[in-house]
Amino acid sequence: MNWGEITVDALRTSFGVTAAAYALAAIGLNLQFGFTGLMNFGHIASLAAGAYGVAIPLEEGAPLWLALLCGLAASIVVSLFLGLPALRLRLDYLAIATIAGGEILRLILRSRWAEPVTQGVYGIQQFSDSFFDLNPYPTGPTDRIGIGDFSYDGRSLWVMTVCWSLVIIGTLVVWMLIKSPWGRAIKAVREDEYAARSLGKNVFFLRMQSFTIGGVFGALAGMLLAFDRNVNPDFYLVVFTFLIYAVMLLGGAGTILGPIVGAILYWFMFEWLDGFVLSSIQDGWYGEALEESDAGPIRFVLLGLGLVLLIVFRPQGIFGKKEEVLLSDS
Amino acid sequence: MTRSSVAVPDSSPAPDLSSVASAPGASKPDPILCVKQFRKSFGAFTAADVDYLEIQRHAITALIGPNGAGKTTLFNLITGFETADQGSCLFNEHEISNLRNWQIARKGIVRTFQHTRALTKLTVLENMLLAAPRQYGEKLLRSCGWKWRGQDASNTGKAMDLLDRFSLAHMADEYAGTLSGGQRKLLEMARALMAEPELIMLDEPLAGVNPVLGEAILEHIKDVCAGGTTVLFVEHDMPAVQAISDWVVCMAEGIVIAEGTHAEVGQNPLVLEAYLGGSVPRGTVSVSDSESESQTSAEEPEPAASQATSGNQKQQES
Repeated sequence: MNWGEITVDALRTSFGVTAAAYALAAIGLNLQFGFTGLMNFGHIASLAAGAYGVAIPLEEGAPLWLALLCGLAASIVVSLFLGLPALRLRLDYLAIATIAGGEILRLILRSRWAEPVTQGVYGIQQFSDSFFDLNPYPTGPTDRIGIGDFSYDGRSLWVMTVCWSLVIIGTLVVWMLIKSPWGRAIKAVREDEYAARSLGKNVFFLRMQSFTIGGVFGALAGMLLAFDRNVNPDFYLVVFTFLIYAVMLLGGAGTILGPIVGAILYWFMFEWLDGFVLSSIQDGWYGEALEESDAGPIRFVLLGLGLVLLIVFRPQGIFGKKEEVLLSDS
Repeated sequence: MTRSSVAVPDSSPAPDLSSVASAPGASKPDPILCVKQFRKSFGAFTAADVDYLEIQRHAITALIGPNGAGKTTLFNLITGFETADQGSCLFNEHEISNLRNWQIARKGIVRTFQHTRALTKLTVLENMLLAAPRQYGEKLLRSCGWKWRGQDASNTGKAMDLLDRFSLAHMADEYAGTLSGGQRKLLEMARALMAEPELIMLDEPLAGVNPVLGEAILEHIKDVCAGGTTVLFVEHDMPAVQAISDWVVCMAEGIVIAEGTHAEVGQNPLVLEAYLGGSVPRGTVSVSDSESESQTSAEEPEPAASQATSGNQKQQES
């Protein structure tokens, strides 16, 4: 077994496009769940809105800037559609309503009657040329940028550059918001909405603001994933939202750096386990008991185990403060 | 004690309530709050049905009554935490019963809760700063940038003064969740004052507080009133009510059955009946003089019987 190779592969993935997009999506979810206490189980709807919002105009030949604006607008519309009714409910109902909302959006996108616009179950491909026209890196078939195996092709590196830049900007924006009186107010809403109301805070409006901003971060992540691959409705499944939750909880919900560290660590663990399980099977550690095709499920089992251990031994995540978890409400 | 830090509307003349008749619905010289025909039912059960009630400005008014009398419901109705089925509520002669709870709070009525609602994962100081009114940086777009910092700094000064007054200054940077029950009561009161209310409504400020701290809280309430804030509070502890209240309103089964000074209410047979007929044990209700207590207990040997009577009473009055 080549431990070095497994580790470098894992490192490469943990800074790759997917990890960056997860970090960006987790920043949004962290604002909603970590700081405002909104149980949004339909975060994937924002990603889908961003992806389709940018893909459809580009497919129709719109310029890139207009498509980007459309993607952001689509996510705001989705947030309002979900939030206006659901944020008036008690928060446990919000969780149910957002799961349903995310699924409804996905089913609409893949439905037959939406096919003229969304191309239904086939999805939209080959729309991102105008985004990659801006790519400053060389994209020849042999061009790789980086040190040894820790390197990326020019195309991925361009998406990564944009995505990590957005992650850094997003983190700074969230940090600024959270340190401000507005941030104090949304944390108060998370802690006790009745106390916040008794002090004159418009709880519904604050929740709506946080929900919408979080959705915009989700939409940006959705757009970048769409540029990197393509757009297909069955990518936007409910389970995706929970992976973003895992990333956020790993880093620490309600912390500024949690989403970044969580995304890097999550993808490092995921890829490292993948490499480890596969090569240990190839090396015959388990004799005839396991075959190579078992590697996929086993890494998920191990990852799940890791997350359970995290919740047991470090419920506040990597960056969270233990005392915050221990504080009682009464 | 620095009072200057808290906005004082104007130095309050001691309210003169001596000329006010001690009867339910009595009109006061200068009411800050006026409740008319306020009614709230949960199904067939009428939780509150207040015909007419005025609250005197710059006075300390106590709201008493046995458990289930509708005191907290009336609090919730006034502050918009529950919606009345009918009726109106005038605050400084403006209708507020159609407003949402947070709008009412911004108008100047700030309440506390029977079970304290400290924001446990915010620090004590953040709890205080949150309450400051008209914060520039609380608007989303203005929160980006630095323009709110000046106001926040001056609010911090004010918050520290208040915390100092409530003996919480040393806890300013601790999470509010680390405070004891009594300290949370203090914090909640300080936080309500930070919002610069005209009328502060305290729901059982002494519940679960030890006697020494209770004394301190009573002093704070008197200070608050002397500083120009009108106080309306719910309390079960009769000696405390006697010690600080200018006016006492007694509710039972949703209606106001008596109003007056503590002495007047304490001798009102309806009040004694409501208490003794209810589930409250006699010993906990120490009415102003023991003589009247023994009188009523002679009149009402059977608590169960008096419950039925007070039920009739309600029908007569409504």
